[in-house]
Amino acid sequence: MKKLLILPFLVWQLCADSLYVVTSKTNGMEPLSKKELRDLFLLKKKFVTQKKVVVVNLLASHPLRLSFEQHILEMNRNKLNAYWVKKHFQGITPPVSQASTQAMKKFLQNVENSIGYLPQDLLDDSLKVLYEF
Amino acid sequence: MWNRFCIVLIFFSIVSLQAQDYQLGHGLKLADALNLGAYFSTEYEYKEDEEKAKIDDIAFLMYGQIDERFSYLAELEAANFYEYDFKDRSSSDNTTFQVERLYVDYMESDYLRFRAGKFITPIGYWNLEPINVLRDTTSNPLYSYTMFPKFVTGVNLSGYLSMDESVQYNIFAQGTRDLDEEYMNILNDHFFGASLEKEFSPELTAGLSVGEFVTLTNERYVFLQCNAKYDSYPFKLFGEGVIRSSRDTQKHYSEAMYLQGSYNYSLEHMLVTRFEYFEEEELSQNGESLFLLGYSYRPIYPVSLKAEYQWHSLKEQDKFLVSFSVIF
Repeated sequence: MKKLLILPFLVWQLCADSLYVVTSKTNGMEPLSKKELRDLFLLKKKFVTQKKVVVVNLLASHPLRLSFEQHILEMNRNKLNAYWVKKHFQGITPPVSQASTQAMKKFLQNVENSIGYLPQDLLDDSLKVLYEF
Repeated sequence: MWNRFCIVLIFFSIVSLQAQDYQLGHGLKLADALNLGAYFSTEYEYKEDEEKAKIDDIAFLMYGQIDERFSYLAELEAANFYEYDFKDRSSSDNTTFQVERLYVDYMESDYLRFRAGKFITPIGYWNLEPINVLRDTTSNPLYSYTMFPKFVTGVNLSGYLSMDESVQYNIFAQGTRDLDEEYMNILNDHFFGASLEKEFSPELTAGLSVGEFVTLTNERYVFLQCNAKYDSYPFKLFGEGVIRSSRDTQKHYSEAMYLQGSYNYSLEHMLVTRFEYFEEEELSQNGESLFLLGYSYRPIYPVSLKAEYQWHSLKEQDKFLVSFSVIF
C-alpha cells in the first residue's frame, strides 16, 4: 500500500525533471534522435531536412544546461570545454546562449529554425517537441 | 623582441578582461563575422650536446561567419620567435609572421562543404591539431612532419556520406605552389588526396586516407594512411600509420607510425606515453624507434604545462622537453 502511495510522487518527480528539446511549430521539423541532437549541438552538423538550424543553449551555469549536457551530449564540462577550445582553433564558436528559460522560449518563437530545450511548464502550442528525456 | 612579446600578451590580457563573455581558449567574439584568437608556446629542450629554450610559436587567428553559408579563417604565425642556446650562449629570433592558414568555406549542406585557400591537410588526428597547447605532448611524432605535406593550398570538398552519416569524407587538391612556403614541411606543387573518417561511437573513431604529391625537386610519392582512436575518460588511446612509396625510377619506400596512450589521474593531471617507429629505405635499414614518457598539467584546458623524456634507438637523440603553452 505504501508503495502505491509513493508511486504518483515518483511519476510526478520524473515529469518535473523531464526536459524537452523543442522548436517553433512553424518550422515543420520532425522528431530527432539523440545522436542527431548531439551532432547539432556540437556543431558537427548544421542542417535538418535541408534547413540550416540555429541551436541555442542556456547559460553554462544553468542546471538545465548541465542536465542537457549529461543526457544528450554525454560529456562532462571539462571534456566539453576541451572540445570547444579545439573548435576555436578550427574557427568555430559554441552555440549562442540565453540567460533564462523564458528568454530561450522567446528566442525559439522568434528565430526561424532554432532548436533549444525547455522544462514542461513552459511548453505550449507555439512549440513542437523534437525529443524528450 | 621581448618588448613585443610582452605587448602582445598584455594586449590580449586587457582585451580579454574587458570582454564580458570572454572565456579563455574560446576566442574573443567582436561580431559574428569577427572572432579573434591567439596562442603561444614556450619550450625547453635538453639533450647530450644541446640545451635550448625558446618561444616556439606566436600566432593570431581571425575568423567568422560572413553570412548563413560563408565563413572564413586567417592565421598568422611566427615560429621560433625567440631561441636561446645555452651551450653557445647565443640567441636568435624571428618576428616575421607567415600565413599559416587562409581560407573561405561555403556550406551547401552537411553532405557538401567547399573550402578554398590554404588549410591544414585533413588527414588523421595529429595533423588537424598541430599546436602545442592542444596536444598532450610537447613533441610531435616523426609521422606528423615527414610523410606528407601538412598543408594544402587549393580546394577541399567535405561532408558526411548520405548513405552512412557516421562517415565523413574529404577530397582535396592542390595544383600550385604553397601560398606561404616558410613553414611547409614538404615543398610541393601537386597534391591530391582523399580521406574517410568513421565514428563508430562517441568514444571510437577510425579513418583511412590516400594521396599523391610531387615535390619541387620533382619526386613523386603516393601514400596510404590509417588512424584509430578510443577516448573514454580517463583513458585515451590512439595511433596513426602511413606507408609511402616513390613512383620514380629510383623507387624507395618509407613507413612511419605512432601509438599514444594517456591516463588522466585527475581532471588536471595526465600521464602520457608514446611509441614511434620510422623507417626510410634510403636512410636506414633497421629503422628508428622512440619511446616517450610524459606528464601534462592543465589547471584549465587552455593552459598547458608539459614535460617528457624521449628514449631513441639512436642514443644521442635522447632528450628531455618541457613546455608551457596557452591559447586565448
